[in-house]
Amino acid sequence: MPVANLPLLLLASALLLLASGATQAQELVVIAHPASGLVQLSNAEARHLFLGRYKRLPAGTTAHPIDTTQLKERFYARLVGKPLAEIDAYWARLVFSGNTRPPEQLPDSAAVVRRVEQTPGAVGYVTRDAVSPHVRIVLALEATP
Amino acid sequence: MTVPGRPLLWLQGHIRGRLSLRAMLSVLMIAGVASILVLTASYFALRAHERMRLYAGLDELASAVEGSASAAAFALDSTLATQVAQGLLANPAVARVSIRSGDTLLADIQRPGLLAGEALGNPRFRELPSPFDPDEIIGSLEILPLESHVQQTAAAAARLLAVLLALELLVAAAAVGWVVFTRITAPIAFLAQHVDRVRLETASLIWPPAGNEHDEIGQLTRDLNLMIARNRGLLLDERALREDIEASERKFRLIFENAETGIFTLDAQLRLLSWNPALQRTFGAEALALAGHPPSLAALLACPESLLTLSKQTDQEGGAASADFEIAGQTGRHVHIVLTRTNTQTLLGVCNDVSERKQAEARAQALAERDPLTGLYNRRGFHYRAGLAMARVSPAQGVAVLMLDLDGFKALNDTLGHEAGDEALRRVARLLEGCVRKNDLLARLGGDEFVVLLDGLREPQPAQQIAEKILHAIATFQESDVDGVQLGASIGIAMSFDPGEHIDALMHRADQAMYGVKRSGKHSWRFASGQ
Repeated sequence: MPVANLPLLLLASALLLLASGATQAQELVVIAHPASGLVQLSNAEARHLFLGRYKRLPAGTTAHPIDTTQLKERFYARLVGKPLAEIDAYWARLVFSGNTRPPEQLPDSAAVVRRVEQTPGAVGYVTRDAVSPHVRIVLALEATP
Repeated sequence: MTVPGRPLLWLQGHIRGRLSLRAMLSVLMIAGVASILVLTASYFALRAHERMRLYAGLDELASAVEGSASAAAFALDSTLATQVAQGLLANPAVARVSIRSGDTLLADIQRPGLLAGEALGNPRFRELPSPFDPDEIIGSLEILPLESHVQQTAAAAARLLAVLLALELLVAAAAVGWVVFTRITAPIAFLAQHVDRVRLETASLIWPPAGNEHDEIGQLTRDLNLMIARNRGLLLDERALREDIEASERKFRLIFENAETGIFTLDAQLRLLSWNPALQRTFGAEALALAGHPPSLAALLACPESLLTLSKQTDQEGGAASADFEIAGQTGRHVHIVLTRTNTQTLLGVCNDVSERKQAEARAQALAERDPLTGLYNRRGFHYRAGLAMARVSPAQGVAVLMLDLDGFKALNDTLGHEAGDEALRRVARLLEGCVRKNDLLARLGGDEFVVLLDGLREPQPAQQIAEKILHAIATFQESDVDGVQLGASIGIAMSFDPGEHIDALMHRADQAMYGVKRSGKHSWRFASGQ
């Protein structure tokens, strides 16, 4: 490798880091209360939590999933790979005829963080840069689904 | 035949005789049988089809609720699952619904009111995929069909369709029957009726049934009319002919019965097949009765063979021949019969009584041939018969002619008168008859001249003998005469064995000889010179 490209190489790496850093800031993460007993969630477990299949956390506490309205579409697109309309349709059936209730709907990441900080058993999703030290990241969704 | 059977037989007969009824019944019967077959076959086919359809319907139902069922299975929501199951049970073909998530039974509902032991079909099983991942199976949906309902529904549907099909068939058949009836059998029946009513005598024709003037039935009608007209013509011709024949018959009968001429027919054996009253009068009823059954005409005649001869003549001479016949047993009664051959077996004949004519003929004949005074042949009669005898002359057998002249007749006549003279001549004639042989020819030539012809002579002796006899006889006659007038005879004899000699020449020679006797003393005989 020619030594003359070293500065170019260094510049490219720095840009990449920056970009990833920027992207990283928009990355969606699933957060939970530190005392929820959750450490790490798999994609499947996250799906089951947010779509009503799991109603309890592994520790036994009642799960309290929260939807971030601002990020909802992106979140489900990445997590489930389905458009929001299908998710809504799915919840419509359950709401109308079933017993299962959809997640609490909060407007943005800040609200969700505040809720998760206060509620053990709460699970929500926010952008990485909204994460506070009082919540635990249990899952990070890939930037590109 | 029992009473119940009679109306049935009447019905049978009635139907057999009505073409329209028969046609209709045939069509209906065929349609009926076909309908039954169609009904049966289609019922079973339709029922199976309906069953399939109902099951497919159940599958479609399952598809419709799959989304909700999957959601319920995913969310482990038994409430939703129950809702789905209830919804499915609304379909009367569903007996029981089970929704599972994994192995967990979320909902299991059976139709209320199901009887124990009610037939349930094979369960329709369906795997439920995750709403969010079609490849992941998270549960199952099972529907148990109510077989009894399925069967009933299928059967009902099948029945309805089958009945409709059968009805359709019957309606079609009825339509066909109706068309056949109105278009074909009705016109034909109409024609048949009218033909039945046609009377040949009246000039009636059949009109074609309305609407059929230009088709085959119209043509048939026209042909029928033609035939009727032709038959009428034939009938009228035959009538006219028969009337002519009857008139001829009457005419013939009139003639046959009333004619004076006898009319008859003969068979091949010449027996009378038929005869009219005139013939009966001619022959006499008794004679006819005695002549056989049928009477033989030949037996009624004096000479039966002659009739046969006549009948044979009809074959040769253009079919008709006639002749005179004497009636058997009645001398002097003659009939003239004309026979005509009508065919190989029969002859037609007419018969007239010609007795009077015959007598007249005889009389005329006699008048021509005989001397009225003595009854002997006269000159003409002698000449004719002598000519016949001369024709038989041969060198072996000859003839002799005796010319006889009475001696003293003139004196007698003058003395005693013509009447006595005539009487004397008559007596001489009788004497002469007694002297000659039966077949000899004796004639009075005139006045007191007589002639005798003897034939079949071989020698002169018989002539001599007869001459002697005559002389002797006349001398005898002379003896009995009271008035004492002397009569004698001068006889000249000439003979001939020459077939070429004429009677006149022979007579002349005899005459000459006689004169010789007269000149030389009379009452003697002399041969002609050269005999």
